[in-house]
Amino acid sequence: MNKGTGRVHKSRRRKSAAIVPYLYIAPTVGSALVFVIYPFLSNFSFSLFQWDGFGAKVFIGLKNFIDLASDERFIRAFQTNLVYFFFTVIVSILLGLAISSLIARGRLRGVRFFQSVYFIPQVVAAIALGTIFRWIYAPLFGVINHFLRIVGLEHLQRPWLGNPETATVAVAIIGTWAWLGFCIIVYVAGIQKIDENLYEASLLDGAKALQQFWYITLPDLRFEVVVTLIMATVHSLGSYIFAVTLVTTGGAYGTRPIALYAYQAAFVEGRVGYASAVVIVLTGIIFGVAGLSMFLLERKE
Amino acid sequence: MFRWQALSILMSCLLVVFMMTTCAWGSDVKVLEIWDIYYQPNREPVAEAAIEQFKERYPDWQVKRSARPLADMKTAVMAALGAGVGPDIVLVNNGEHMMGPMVRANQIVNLDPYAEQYGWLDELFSPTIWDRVRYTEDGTQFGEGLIWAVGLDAELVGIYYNKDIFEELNLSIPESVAELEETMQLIKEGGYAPISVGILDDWQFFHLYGALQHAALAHQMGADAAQEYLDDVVVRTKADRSWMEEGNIESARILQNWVENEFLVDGFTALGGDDALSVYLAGASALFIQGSWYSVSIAEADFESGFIPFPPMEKGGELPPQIGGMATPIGISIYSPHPDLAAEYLDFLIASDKTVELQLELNVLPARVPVPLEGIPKGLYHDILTAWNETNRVGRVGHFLDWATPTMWDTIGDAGRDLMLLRISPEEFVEKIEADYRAFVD
Repeated sequence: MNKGTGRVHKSRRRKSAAIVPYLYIAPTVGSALVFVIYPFLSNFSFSLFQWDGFGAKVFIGLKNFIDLASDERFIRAFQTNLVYFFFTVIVSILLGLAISSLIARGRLRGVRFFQSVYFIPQVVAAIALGTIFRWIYAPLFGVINHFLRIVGLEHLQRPWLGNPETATVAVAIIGTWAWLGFCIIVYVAGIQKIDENLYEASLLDGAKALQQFWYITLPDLRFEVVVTLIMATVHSLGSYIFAVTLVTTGGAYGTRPIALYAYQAAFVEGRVGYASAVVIVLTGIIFGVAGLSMFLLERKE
Repeated sequence: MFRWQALSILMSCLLVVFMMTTCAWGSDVKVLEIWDIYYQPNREPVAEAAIEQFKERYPDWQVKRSARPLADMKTAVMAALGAGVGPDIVLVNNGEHMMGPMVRANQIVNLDPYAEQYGWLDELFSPTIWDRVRYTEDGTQFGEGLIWAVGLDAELVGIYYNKDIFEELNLSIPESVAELEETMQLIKEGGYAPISVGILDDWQFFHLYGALQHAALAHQMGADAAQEYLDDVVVRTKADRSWMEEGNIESARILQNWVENEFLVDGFTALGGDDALSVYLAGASALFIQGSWYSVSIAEADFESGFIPFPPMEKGGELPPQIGGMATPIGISIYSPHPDLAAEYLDFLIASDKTVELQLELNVLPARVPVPLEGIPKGLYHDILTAWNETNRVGRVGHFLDWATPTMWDTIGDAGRDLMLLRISPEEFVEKIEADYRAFVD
C-alpha cells in the first residue's frame, strides 16, 4: 500500500466515524420529527384557518388568536390554570423545600421508606389519581365528609367538587399531593450533596437555621428547583391536569383548564382551527415558563 | 469497523421500513371495511351477526371491522376522511357534531336511493326518527332533506321507579307532574331520596330539565305544537323561534322548587351519572329520570324497577314529547370503492329480522318500530319497549337539547348548574340559552 492510498483509507474511516453518531440519534430525531415537530407545525397551520375538522379550511390569518383575547371561556380556563399552577408548582416547591430542609440533614429512621411513599403519586396514572380523589371528595360517602362527621364538624361538610367556591381548589390540591413528594425527593438528594462543612462553618459564624437555608441550601438547590418547576409546570398546564380534571369534575364549576377547553372546542363544538390556536397559546405558556426558569438559572450561575 | 456499524444500522432501518410497507401493500383481497362504535357486549353481537349474513351472501369478501368509543372513532374518522382515505362504513354522529360538517364536505354518500331500494322508509323508523338523519343536500339545514346515515338502536329518557319502595310506601304510579310531586313528598317522608341525579355530568341535567321542559311546553302549547316547536329550536334551528317561552321558564322554576323541597339526592351537585346510578341501585332513592341505556344495569339490581314515560303536567293530558332518538348512526364514506355493497351490509344491520331478534335477546331498545312485544315478559324491558312504541306511534320523540347549537352543551351545562345551585333565576337561565341560540341562528 502506498502512502496516498493509506491517506484515502484513513480519511474514509474518519468520515464513517463522523457519520455513526448521527445514525445512532437518527431514530430519536426521526420520531421527534414525525410525532412532535410535524404535528406541532401542522397544528400551528390549522390555527390560521377556520375549520370544522371535516370540510375545506378557510384562511383567516391570526383571527383565532385575536378572538381568544375576548373569549370569556378561554379567559376563565386560563384563570383556572393559574390556580392549578399555583397549587401544583408554587405550593409543591415551597412545601417541598421546607420539608426537605427539615428531614434531609437529620438522621431520620426509615428515610428510604418515606421516599418511596412520597414517590407513589408519581407512578399512579392521572386517571387513577382523579378517581381516587373523586371518592375522597364524594358528598355522600367520601372520606373527607365522613371524617368531618366523625369529629363533629358536620357543618363543614360540603359537596367539594359540586360547588364553584371549592371545586377548583379541590382539584388543584390533587396537583400539590402528586408533586410534593417528587419535589421532596429531588431536594433531599440535592441537599445531601451539599458539603456539610459549609453548614458547620456557618454555625461557627453564628448563622441561624433560616440563614443557612437562605444562603447555603437554596443557592445550591437552584438546579433542582428549576427541574421541578419545569416538570410541574408542564403537568399543571398539560395532559396531566387534563386527565385529572376530566375524571374528577369533567370541567364543571369553573374547573376546566385550557387543555380541556381545547378538546371541547375541537371535538364537541367542531372548531378545530380555533382549538389549534388555543393549543398553540398553551404550548407558548409552557415554553415561556420553562424558558424563563432556564434563563433565571443561567443568569444566577 | 465503523463501516460495518453504519451498515448494520442502515440495514435495520431498511428492515423496519420493509416490514411496514409490506403490511400496507397487502394482497389483492376484496375487503369491506367498517368503523363503528358498537363495541358494547349488547351491541357487538348484532354487528357480528350482520357481518355473518353479509359473508354468507358474499363468501369471497372479507369484512374488517373496527369498533371504538365515540370520541376516539370521531377523531379517527376526521383524520381518515380528511386525507381522502378510510373505511367503507363510517360513524356519522347526528347533527353538527358530525353529520352536518360531513355533508358539507361531501364526505358521505346520500342513502335515499338505498332507502328506496331496500324499502327502509316503509318499514323501519318513524318519520320523526328519520328526520334526525336528514340534512339538506348543501348540509346547511338539519332535520330536512336527504338521508345520510342509519342507526341500529334507540334511546328513550323516562322515569325508572323502584317497585319495592313504591310497594313499601303504598305509592301509585304518577300520571301527572302534580302527582309526581305528591309522590316525591311521600317518598321523602318515607326516608328515601326521591330522585337520584348527578349534575357533575352535564347530560344528567339536560335529561332531567329536558323531560320537564317537554311536558311544560306540551301543557303551554299542546303536545303536537310542542313537538313542532322542539323540532324547530333543537333540530331545524329556525331563526323565527325563540327559547323565551313560558314552558321553558316554568320547567326551570319547577326544578328549583324540587331543589328547595329537597326532592333530589343529597350532594347531587357533586355526583356524576354513574354515582347517581349507584345511589339508585343501592335502593337509596326511588326515582331515576334517565335514559334507556341504563336499563341493563338497572335490571340487574336487587330490586325490581319499572319504567314510565315522563307524564303530562295535568292528569289526563296528552303524552308530552319524550326525549329520545336513534343512537349514534353510521353511513357510507364517499371514498368507498363499493358503496352498493356497503349499503347491503347496512341493510343486514338495520333491517334483518335477526337484528331485532338479537336486540330483544340482549335487552337493547331497537330503533325500528313498532317493536314486537310478543314473548317479552312483563317487567322493566317490556315497559321501555311499550313506552318507545307509544312515543313513536303518536310522533312525539323529543330531543337532546345540546343538539341545538355547537356550543349549547356548554351553555346549558353551566347555566343548569347555576340554576340548580339557585344562583340564577329561571328567567336568567332561559336567557342564557336564548343568547347562545341567537348567536348561532342570527
